[in-house]
Amino acid sequence: MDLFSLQFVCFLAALLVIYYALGRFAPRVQWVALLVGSIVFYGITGGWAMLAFMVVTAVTTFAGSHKLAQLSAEAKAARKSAKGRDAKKAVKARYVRRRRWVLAAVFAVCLGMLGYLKYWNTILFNFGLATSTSSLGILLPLGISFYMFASLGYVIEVYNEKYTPEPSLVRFFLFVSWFPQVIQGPINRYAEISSQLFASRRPSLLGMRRGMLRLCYGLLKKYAIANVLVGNYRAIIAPADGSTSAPVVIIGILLYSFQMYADFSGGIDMVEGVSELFGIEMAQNFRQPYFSTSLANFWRRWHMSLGHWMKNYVFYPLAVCAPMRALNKHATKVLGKQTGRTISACVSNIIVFFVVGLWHGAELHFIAWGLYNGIMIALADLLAPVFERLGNKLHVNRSSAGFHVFAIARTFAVVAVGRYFDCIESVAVGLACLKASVTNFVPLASVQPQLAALGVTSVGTLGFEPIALWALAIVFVVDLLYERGHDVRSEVMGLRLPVRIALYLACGTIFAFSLSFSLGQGEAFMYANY
Amino acid sequence: MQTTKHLRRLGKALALLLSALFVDMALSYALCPLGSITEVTWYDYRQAVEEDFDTVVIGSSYAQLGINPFALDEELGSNAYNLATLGQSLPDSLAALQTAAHDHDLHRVVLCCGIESFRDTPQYDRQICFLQAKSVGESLLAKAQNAARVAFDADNFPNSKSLTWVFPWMYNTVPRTYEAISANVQSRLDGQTPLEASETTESGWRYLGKGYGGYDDTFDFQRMSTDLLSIPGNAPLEARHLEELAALLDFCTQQNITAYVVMVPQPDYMNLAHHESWYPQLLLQAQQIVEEHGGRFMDANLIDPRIYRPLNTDFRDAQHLNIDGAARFSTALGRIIARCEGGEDIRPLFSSYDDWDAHIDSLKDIALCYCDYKVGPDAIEFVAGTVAKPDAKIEYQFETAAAQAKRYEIAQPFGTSYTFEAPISGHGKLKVLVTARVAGQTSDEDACIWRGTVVY
Repeated sequence: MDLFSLQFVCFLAALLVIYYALGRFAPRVQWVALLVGSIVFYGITGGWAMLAFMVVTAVTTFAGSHKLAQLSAEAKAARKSAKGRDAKKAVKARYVRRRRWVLAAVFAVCLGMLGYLKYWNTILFNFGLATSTSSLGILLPLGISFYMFASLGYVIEVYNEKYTPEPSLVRFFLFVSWFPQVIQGPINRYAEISSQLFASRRPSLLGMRRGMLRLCYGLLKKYAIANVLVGNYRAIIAPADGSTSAPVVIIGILLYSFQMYADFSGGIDMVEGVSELFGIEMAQNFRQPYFSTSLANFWRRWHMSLGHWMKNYVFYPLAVCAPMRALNKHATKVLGKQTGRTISACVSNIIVFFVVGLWHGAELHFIAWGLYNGIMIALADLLAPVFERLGNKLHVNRSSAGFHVFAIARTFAVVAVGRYFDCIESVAVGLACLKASVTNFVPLASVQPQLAALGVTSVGTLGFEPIALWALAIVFVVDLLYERGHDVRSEVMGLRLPVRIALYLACGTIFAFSLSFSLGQGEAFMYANY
Repeated sequence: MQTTKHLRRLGKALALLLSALFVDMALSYALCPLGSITEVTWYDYRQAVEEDFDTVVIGSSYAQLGINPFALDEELGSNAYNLATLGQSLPDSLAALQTAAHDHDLHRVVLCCGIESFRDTPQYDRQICFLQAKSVGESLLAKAQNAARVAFDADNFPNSKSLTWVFPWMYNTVPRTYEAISANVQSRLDGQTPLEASETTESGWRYLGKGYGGYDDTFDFQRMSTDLLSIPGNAPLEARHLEELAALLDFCTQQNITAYVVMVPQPDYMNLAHHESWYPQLLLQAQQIVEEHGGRFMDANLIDPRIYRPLNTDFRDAQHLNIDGAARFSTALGRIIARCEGGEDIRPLFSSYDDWDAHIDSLKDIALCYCDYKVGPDAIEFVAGTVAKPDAKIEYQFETAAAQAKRYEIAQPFGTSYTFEAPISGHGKLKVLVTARVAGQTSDEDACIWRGTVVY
């Protein structure tokens, strides 16, 4: 079921009517409509059989969290009854061990399932034991990484005793299965979304208008940019190798950069908009990432819910673990206080981005892409004092607008280099293309014929279809306004009616003109299979 | 106070909706081509609504280009109209039939199909074109029914196609150039009818009336390139399409209309390519459905060759008949239907799918010769092939001639090798003649030829 289809419109309309009708007549069970709707959506879109994996995840994490809470309570009681400091310590250690075992067991079941479904075939392929990365015919359930990570995050929070576990498995299942999040995230946190899911509410016209506006903006990004550019970027990147000319490779990477942003953030806008129609605000996933001034800043703005997950459940535990503390101590002794302190953060960052790469897939190019990001952030941290001194020496005014624009362009370039390992499915070819980008210069006049020979359309605008350029201009303006602190949605809704109608019609016409690019290609979201 | 607020909101929403509708209609006016073949078919049908049609022809391009209603009328004494349109899906055929049955006292319907009619996903742009052309002049209810058929189509419902039909100008469109758009708008402003406009928009197509139009050109099978060699593969018939066929036939039964489901004639090479048993088995399935639901099934390829046999000169491309071919076939079909309706058992006039092997045996050993080539720096590499009986041992001869030369020289005499390299230097043109024959046969009649000119 595509989000832009009559089937989804019918589904959404029926669910909204039932949800708000229940809110009026049986507010205490209003959330049941969301649960049933989520199950129906997943069954139709992801397949009824695939629902089993979601149920196993929910039951495992639910049972694990309750066991953890029970052990916590037992530990408290046992420590209370234990006499003497040593005895209390021994009790604590015993229960810490038990709780770790429970956490490990939950992780083993969930990550084992994810590992088998998502990575097993690729691992075998990498070792020459499978003919392709999909030869075993293992089907990846829709959005498995997203609901799995949300569930595991919940268990970790219970382990850290931040929550009392949800007493009802059925209610917990709504948190796991909430349909807008299972397509491609965001990875919601239980503490932030549960009260919204289970609250009873009446329809709010303002909220619905805001939700609808966001849904439509997402449609514009997905259909008028992502689906329009996908054909051209593939036409360039698929055959690219070390012999491809520099401008052609760079155009391919640029097309991919914009296509991917529009696909992922557009999809997120759509699902966030849908969720807002029910009065539920999910975790923010994008904050104008292409206006970032450093790579670390970029990762705080791109796929933010994954970033939070990694920061809270991988980075922090790693940064404070015993071996890392020992490393810190040793590095401080050898390299001095400032560098020494940074070392553990650098190593943790590299490990985190290795995991981020792995999260995208077991293919080597994803791991290379993750490591590239981790290493670049680590280097930036380590070399920060050098840059600082250099800047001072050259009298660079870091607060000037010019430097800000330079920093944005520099970050975009650093991110774009990483894209070589993301979209090119071989590390060797990625490196060869990267080399080609700085060595294979050709006369500019030959670029358009080269693009045409690859089957790229709209070579006059270097593969950027005019319709996509219009939509990109709109997205740029909207992102710029958000970046400058405007609440664009509120401001658009506050415009005078004729202006608003003209704006909607202009966007609507661009959207409609882009539709012919979507039939039969690129309708699915890039991140739906993660 | 509250009511006024609600009314104002409603007014704003209505203003937005009407503005969107206006823009959509303006774009349709400018971009949807006036005078498409589908539009002409429906336009002329509406013009002739006072006529007393008793027979309609439905189906896709096979029927649109393959059945001449005048020829049918001559044999049947009927008044037929061809409502077939390019890419017409079976549900669209049923919709066309329902409209015709509503407007006229129909006695018979002829549905023309190819095997792909029961396997292909409907072409969305054709669906939109049909929807637009059929809806002109219909009631609001009928328009809504037409739209609902597209929106709720099983192939469209779960994806964007279920909604995008509201932008018909995206799919049924003139080229996006200033000249094409302004010419289209001008022809509308000039008040041209679709029929008048088709004279400029549908190059080479000639409208003969009663919904039927065609092309005069003849396909040169001696210049068949491999990209035109579209031989349908072995894929099962879609259950969905068979259900749609059954629904169409059930409608005919309810309305007391005699339904003829006709598999259109195809060039010999297509029949020969389908020597394997899956082909007759698949069509047997369709035949069974037709007969179970009260229709009459006829495969034009199995007609007794003494009554009808398609000639290569009957085709305008590898699949469709030209005007002369359609007239020949329609006359033959009309005669068979007349004999059938006269009470004669027409089964002896056809071979059956059980005798498919015998039918294949009756064809020439080689039906088609084709050739592919690749221009290299020093030579042109030719790879020839044939559509022939599976056990036939083929030998090839390659002859070449310079562009201006009249006589070909034998470059590679008859032999089993199907490849040949012609050395070249510099740039120029080379004419090539490939002759394929069954090893040992010397008669020209049994040989097949491919000819081409290669620019290097």
